[in-house]
Amino acid sequence: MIPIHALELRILIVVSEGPTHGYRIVKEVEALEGGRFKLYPANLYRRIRDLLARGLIEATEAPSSEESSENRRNYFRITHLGREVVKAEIMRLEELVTDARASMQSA
Amino acid sequence: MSFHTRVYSATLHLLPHDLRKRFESEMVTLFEHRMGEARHAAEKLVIFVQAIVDVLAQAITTRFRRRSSYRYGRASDSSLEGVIGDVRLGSRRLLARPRFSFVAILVLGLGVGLTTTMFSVVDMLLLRDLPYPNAEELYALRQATERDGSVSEGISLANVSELSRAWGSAAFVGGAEGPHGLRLFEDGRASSLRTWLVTNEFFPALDIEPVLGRSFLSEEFVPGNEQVVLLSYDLWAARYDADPGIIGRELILDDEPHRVVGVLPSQFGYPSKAELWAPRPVQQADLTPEGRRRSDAIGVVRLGGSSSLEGASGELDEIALRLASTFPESNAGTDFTIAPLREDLYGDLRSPVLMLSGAAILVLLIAASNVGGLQIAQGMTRTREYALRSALGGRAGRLLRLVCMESLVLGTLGGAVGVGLALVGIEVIASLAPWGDVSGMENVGLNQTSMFVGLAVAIGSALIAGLAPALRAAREDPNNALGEAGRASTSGKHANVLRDGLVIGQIALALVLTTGAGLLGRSFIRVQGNDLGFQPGGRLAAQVWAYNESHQPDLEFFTEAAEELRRCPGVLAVGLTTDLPQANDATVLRRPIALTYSLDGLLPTMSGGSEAVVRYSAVDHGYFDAMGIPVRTGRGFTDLDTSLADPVAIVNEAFARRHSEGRDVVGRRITLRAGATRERRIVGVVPDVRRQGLEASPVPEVYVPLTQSPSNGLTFVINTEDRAEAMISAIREALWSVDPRQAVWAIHPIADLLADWNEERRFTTIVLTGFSAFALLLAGIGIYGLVSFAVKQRTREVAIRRAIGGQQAEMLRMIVRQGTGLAGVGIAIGLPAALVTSFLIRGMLYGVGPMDLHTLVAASALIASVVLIAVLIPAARAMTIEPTQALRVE
Repeated sequence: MIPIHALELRILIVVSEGPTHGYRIVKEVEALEGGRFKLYPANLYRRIRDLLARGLIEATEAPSSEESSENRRNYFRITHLGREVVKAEIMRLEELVTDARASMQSA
Repeated sequence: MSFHTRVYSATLHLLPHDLRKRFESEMVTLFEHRMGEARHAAEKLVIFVQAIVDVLAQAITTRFRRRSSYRYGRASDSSLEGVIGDVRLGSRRLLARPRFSFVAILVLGLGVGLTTTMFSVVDMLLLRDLPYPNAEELYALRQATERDGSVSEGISLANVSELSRAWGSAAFVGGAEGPHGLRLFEDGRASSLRTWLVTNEFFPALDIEPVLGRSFLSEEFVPGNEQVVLLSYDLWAARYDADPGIIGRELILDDEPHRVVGVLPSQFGYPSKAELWAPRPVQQADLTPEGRRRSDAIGVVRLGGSSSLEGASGELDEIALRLASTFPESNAGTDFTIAPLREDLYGDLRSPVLMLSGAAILVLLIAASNVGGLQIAQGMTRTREYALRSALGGRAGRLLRLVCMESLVLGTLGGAVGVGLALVGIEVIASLAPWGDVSGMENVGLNQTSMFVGLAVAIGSALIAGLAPALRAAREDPNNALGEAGRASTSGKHANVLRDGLVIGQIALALVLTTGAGLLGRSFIRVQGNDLGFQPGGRLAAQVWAYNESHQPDLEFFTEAAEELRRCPGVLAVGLTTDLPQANDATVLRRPIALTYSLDGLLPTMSGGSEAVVRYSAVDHGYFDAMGIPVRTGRGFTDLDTSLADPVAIVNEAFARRHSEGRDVVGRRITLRAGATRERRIVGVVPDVRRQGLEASPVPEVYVPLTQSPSNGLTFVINTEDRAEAMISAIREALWSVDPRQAVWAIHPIADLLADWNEERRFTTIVLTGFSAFALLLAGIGIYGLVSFAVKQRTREVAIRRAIGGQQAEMLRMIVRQGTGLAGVGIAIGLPAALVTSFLIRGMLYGVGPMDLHTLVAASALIASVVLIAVLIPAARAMTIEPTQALRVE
């Protein structure tokens, strides 16, 4: 499962905070990436589809706090498996950074 | 919906189906949001373009990225990597059943290979253009005279010249006389070069340009001007090492200088393969009544581009009438016909080639249905497998695609094997087939169209046969198939019927093929049984064109040479003739001569009012003895029949039969209307001799003594003690020792010449027999597979019956009945089909009618016995199964 594509990781992080719908995911991801990165629909929903298939996120209903009834199907949240995968990925990245720092210092 | 949204929405169709289906509306909504964010038109455009690019990029990457992390059965259906995975899986499954796969691929391969080979030959011989530019405008020109109602092979050069002048629809009318043997004296040795003498419009008609040098100029057709010659490519390469300096060189041909002006393209060989082409001016002698009456030249016509066939033929008829009135002595009743050149060259080949192609198609059908049957059987055993898979969540479409892939791989491999076999097959045909001499056969190559057709049939039949059970299984309720009932599931019934139908079809087709082979085989045997009229064994034919200094026939040389040959060890007898029996177009010294005649002063008329003709040849007194031809009545020629003695003639029995009228033909007087018309007394009758193989009926013939009608091109017939081939060099040496300046054109064992005529019939008979043997084998295998499968399915039933003491005979009878029932239906369907095809090939039969009962019965019996064997083997095996063993198979 790991390593995960960076974009997918971003999406997972966004939906880990709670059920989110597509447009919101786009905004948050773009904010996380900063700069001039734009997430376009096909890209987004392809990633979402892949994540769904791997069981890292799941579709869910809108939380009662939000009004719109039309977008009911579009909400996604992270699954338990997804959380574990994100944790594992974070660990991997941390190790990577540690090793990299160590070799840079010794060089 | 705004325009940009509509476009965007449309491009979404490029994405994988499931992605689009699930998220289309969200994507569109998102897209519109994004567009809404744009502050001005330029930004809107940028966003729009980027969105489209995004779709394209995703469409591409989703189709080519490896998603090995996906579980089986859940992958997207239309992505490419899914397809590749299935192909791999399909191949693995085929490998898991090596026997089935091997047999299926081999069978398909053979069927495709045979068909592709035959179609390539068909394409070359019957469909492809002749190697001349705009070949559809080319026609062979023939002369038909009312002499005996038949169309003669050739035309007179005088008529060629008249037509060339008067026939407007024809762009060019050319004539070729020959083949002659021109004697080349070079480096102290004489050799005879096969030569065609052609008129001035011959090469323009064919539109052939020499590869080196130039063609003939018009002044070279004026008698008295410098003599020139064109070389064939093979002669130039072999004798002159392809030296370009050959142009302009002088060759001494027949003691006269000839300048080489050009070299013709390789593989050019019209009217037949030769070594030289030289100009033939039309001379005074050609324009006399005798000259106009000749029919020994070959005519070729190129019609003008705008002329229609009807228009040209009509004009031709008018000209014929005009010529008949202008030259009544020679042209009365003479008509001209034209036939497309392709037909002229290849027409005789059409029947056998088409017949073999049809047979190849039948074999392919048998092969395809055999493989189909195999696959159906496989499908039936896999019903459980399908049910399991579908119960575990495999989607129907995915299953079908899997089966598709498997069949595709099977069909493709079978097709590939077939193409490989075809490549070999074409080589084999090109070398073995008797059509190899036909010019152009060197060009037979793999026909792309038929290759694709063969592949398509292979893949198609594999697909169809593979899908049929899979479709059924996919629709089946898994519970049904997995339960106890699954073993005798009803869905199996349809597959069984289909399989039965396929087997019946194979049997019927096999019957058709076997009947055809049987008829051809009987024809071949009949032909072999025909009487030749002479003894070919141990006979050699040495053909020589000889001239003395004054270009007169050099009978002295021939007589002396015959004596010298008689002195050779191993030579039993020597004779001379102008007309060698069994020579064909490639080996004949000159074209056969047919003359009109009068008997006892009266012109005999044939039925239909046409004139009678007789085949004419001149022989010496040793000829009949050397050929082993006994004299039936009267006497043969002796050395008393000199040029000063009474003119005499000998006729054959066909002539005697024609003129029996209750009297013996010996003693009557015959006058041949050709050249010096002398009255000859018939002094003997000899048996009929077959001159063109064993099939063509003998015609009435007259022989005159060589001394009384000399010729310069003669064939020595030498009866040798030993094997004929061993004597060839000795003969050559002997002739050379008499006069080194006389060139021997060719030496052939006569038995070889005879074999050439038989070649075609033998070849087609053997090939068709091979096809039908293969068909029988396949049909047998089909039935065997069917019956043994049925037996296996009822193993339990069989075992139980035996365990409780049931009659074995009953079981056996049931099994046998199933198999023979199928065979019976197959034969019943096959018989009318066999009759129809027999009628189609009746042109190729000899001495056997298409309704030959013996052959039909024999073929049916053969198939019935094959079926019986195929049925008894599994039945016998069923009888020997241990009941306990069978019951344990759960």
